[in-house]
Amino acid sequence: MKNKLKAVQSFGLALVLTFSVALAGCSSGCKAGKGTLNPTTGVYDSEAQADRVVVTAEKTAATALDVFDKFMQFERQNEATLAGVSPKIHQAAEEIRKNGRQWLTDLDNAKVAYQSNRTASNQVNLQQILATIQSAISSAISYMATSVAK
Amino acid sequence: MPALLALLVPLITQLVSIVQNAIANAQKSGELTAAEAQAHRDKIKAVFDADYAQPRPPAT
Repeated sequence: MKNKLKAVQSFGLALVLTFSVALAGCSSGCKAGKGTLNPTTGVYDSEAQADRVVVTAEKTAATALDVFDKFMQFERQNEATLAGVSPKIHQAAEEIRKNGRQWLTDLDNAKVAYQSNRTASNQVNLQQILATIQSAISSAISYMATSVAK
Repeated sequence: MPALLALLVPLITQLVSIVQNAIANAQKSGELTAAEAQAHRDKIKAVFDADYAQPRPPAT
């Protein structure tokens, strides 16, 4: 039984590791293909080379939303049990409940500003917000892993 | 021990779903179209409007 539990724990942690590696590989810039959008005009140029920073922001935003969604659900459904593991798990979930929507909206606004006017300062702003979200994703995944690793 | 086991199944289900979505997400290489970007905004609203996304004090 103990070995079986260890195996299941290892599986969960392996998934976290796999995902973290995938995310880390993208944090320095996801591979970009073709297709750019100008949100001001609404024109999509399917032949233009996509901007790596925009693609990274969009993939990170999608991943963040998914991780936040799953983490908040998992925490609410298992709140009492998780409180026995660590009260920090509830605190982390509450942080996302209070700020997650704003973080993702800020990221979207910064991305749209950069797509509309691709200047260096708009790019720096986008990358700074991106770093905040990437940190929140790592924390959420880490707390999910902590819940069974203890 | 039973409490730990009760956590494992939902946790692994969620993690598998996250990894599957990340893999599907990685297939797209260009920037999102206006419609796709709007769909993402709609999804943010749906997630954070859900009951489980509303803040509340720790359960006692």
